[in-house]
Amino acid sequence: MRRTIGVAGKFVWAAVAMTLLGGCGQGEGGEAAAVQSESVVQDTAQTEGTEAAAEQAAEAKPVAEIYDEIEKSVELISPVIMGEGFITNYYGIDPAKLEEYVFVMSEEATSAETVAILKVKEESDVEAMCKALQVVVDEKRSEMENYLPDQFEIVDKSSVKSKGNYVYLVISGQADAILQIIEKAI
Amino acid sequence: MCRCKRMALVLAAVTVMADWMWVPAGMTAYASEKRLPKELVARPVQEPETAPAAEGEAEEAGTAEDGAAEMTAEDRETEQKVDAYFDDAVFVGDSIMLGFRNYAMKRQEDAFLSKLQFLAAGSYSANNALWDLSNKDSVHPVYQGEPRYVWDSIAMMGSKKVFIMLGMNDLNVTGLEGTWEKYEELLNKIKESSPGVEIHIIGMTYILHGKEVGKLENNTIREYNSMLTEMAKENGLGFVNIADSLADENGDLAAEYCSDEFAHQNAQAYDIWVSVLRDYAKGQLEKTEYARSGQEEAENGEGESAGNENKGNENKGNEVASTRQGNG
Repeated sequence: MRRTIGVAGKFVWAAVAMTLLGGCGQGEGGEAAAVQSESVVQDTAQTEGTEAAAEQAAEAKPVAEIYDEIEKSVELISPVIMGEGFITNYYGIDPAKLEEYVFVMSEEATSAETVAILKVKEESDVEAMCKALQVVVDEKRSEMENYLPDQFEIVDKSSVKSKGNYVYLVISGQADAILQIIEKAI
Repeated sequence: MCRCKRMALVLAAVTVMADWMWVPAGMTAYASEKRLPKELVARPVQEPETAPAAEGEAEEAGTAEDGAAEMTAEDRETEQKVDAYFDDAVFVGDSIMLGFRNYAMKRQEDAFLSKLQFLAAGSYSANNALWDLSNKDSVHPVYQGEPRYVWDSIAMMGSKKVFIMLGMNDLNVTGLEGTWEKYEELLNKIKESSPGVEIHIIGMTYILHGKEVGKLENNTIREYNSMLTEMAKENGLGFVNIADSLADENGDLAAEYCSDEFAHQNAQAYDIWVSVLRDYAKGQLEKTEYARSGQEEAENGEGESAGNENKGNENKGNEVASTRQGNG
């Protein structure tokens, strides 16, 4: 397999070159080489930390898999996965701003159950998506308030949450279990 | 340690690190630049329990295969016209209509259901449809990200046909007369905001026997639907009677169609909705066709005999449409 050197690798080689050139012919240069070696090690450690964090982000599950796990773990009430047309027409959510999403509501008109997980492409869109999902909460709250008190209670306990590029909302009698699955996965 | 040994040690360490640093071509060294696959999960969660309109219609013709085999090119053309009838339609209503919306959203592979637009909300009524948007108890249906007056949303959608079903959340608030007045006021606002829009009233569906609440009982609902039929006739509106297709022999909502031991409906009920709506559309299309053919004949100058024939055709068209009107 053809291989290429990463940026960090180039840095290391540059540091090595400096070390070797500086280390020959001078005692003090030898000490300088040791210091530079130390700084190379420190820089390497920093790079490792950045990469670890990035790898952790990369290990976040795809939203589809998160939802699959939710479905397997929790009995949702006649869930219907809503498509692009639905989230655009009714909630003004632009799918082009989403890297991936799932938006599920109950088919039962008497159930407020909703599971929405949105991953935005740009973190700057998190706020707008939070507002869009807040509209869902407010809508369900208004519908249920004087109509189905038990459903109203479920809605009242819910809230829109965000973490990094993820914005999510769970309205369900089993919200705690569902939120645990989501938050573990993102 | 001598300089050379030190250099050798550094070289050895660097060699080990460099081997770890090399990355395969085509990838960066930073995992954050790896892209996760975008997955639009816009798929039905499960197969529908029944394929809606297709099965209902297939039952009439025999098996689904027999139905498909018997459908002529003319039948297929009619079916396509019927589906197209609802292309520019919006369905407005309360939680009963919300159930139909969710039923449709679950079946987006269906040519008919995938085109339907909805403006529906639980607790919605002819009364609260007229409330100010700022009223904290209002339940104006959300469109394009915010609650709006339904007549504004209809205008924004550019809908040419409105199918509206309200009353369940009105009868115990303003009674028959009061509800009728609010309904008329609402319809006028829709007509003002969308001139030329066709309005088709869907009669209120019934309650499960024994679950009546105050004026929300089936004899009152029948009376209410009669008033709506009258209002529709007086104002040149359409009227769709779905209630009687869902009723049992006593005129109550049939238990097999009820989802909650009260008034809300299940998928089997909404299968019936689809059949009734498609039949209604066929009637409307035939009525339009008769009127058009009559006009063409009149324009061809066939005189008095053509006029008499037109009248006959129009009456026939009206009969087809009126069979869709129930007595509430």
